[in-house]
Amino acid sequence: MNREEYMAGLRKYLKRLPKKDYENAIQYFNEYFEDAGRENEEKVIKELGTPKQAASDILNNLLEEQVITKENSQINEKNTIHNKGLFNAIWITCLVLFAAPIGLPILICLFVLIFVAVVLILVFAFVVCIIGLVFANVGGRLLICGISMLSSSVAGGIVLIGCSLFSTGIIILIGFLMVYLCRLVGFGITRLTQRIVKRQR
Amino acid sequence: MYYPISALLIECIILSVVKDKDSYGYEISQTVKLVADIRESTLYPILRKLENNGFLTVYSKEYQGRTRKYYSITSLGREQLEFLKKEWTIYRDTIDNIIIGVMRADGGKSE
Repeated sequence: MNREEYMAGLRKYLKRLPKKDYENAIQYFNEYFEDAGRENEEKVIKELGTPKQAASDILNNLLEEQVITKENSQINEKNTIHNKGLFNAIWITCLVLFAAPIGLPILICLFVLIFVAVVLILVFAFVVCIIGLVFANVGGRLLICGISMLSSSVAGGIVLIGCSLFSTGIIILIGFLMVYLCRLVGFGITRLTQRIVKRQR
Repeated sequence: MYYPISALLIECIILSVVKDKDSYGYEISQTVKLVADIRESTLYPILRKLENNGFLTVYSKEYQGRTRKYYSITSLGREQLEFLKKEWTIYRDTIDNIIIGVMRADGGKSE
């Protein structure tokens, strides 16, 4: 690998940086190669490691030292923030005023919908729990009946024991279903909040 | 060098290098490499940090038909260097004294 190939690799992997930081870094390493001289090219490349490794080191260290510039440079912000801030405030106020007749009911609707969904899920869980309890109760009784019946009628006893095992199976099945459902709901809620948080940024 | 070197100490070295005369990346790096087994991918972010904190300023100058970035120390940088130097002296003397054997923590008096 020669210097040009190396720098091409570095460019590729540093693309994720903001433009200013990217150009800065590329210039630094270009200069470094220049100052090291052609005769030291191989040595420098060996020292730096693969372009991928070097780039990820640079990215990590820049992040650690917190020296990556934000996309809007501070100078720009300073010059425009006053005008823009005021304009934005008026603009947003107008939008809010005009959108209120439609926006407010939609917002309320959304809250109600979420509330109903949560209640539905809770009710469903409750019902499933009750069903599970009933099955457990029936299963237990059947088992006792079956065992006590074995002495008088073997076939009848076995049928009853079978029924009790069947209901036990269903309870286990419901248990698994509930665990799965809980996970799904939990996952859904975290994803939803993540999305909302992201959008607010 | 056998002992690892901390990023703060490297900051101290960099500031010392440019304290009397402005310098450029490669030169600074060669001096730092006299004491630290450090890669350019670590050194460059430290230089950027010093620049961001206002300890160094950067300007471009023509050199043999190409531009070269020079680093120059600011008054804030000089203050920071004084602080880092003081801390280093304390650190060095303490270790020296422990190694020589003239210093022990009060609680650990030997009989």
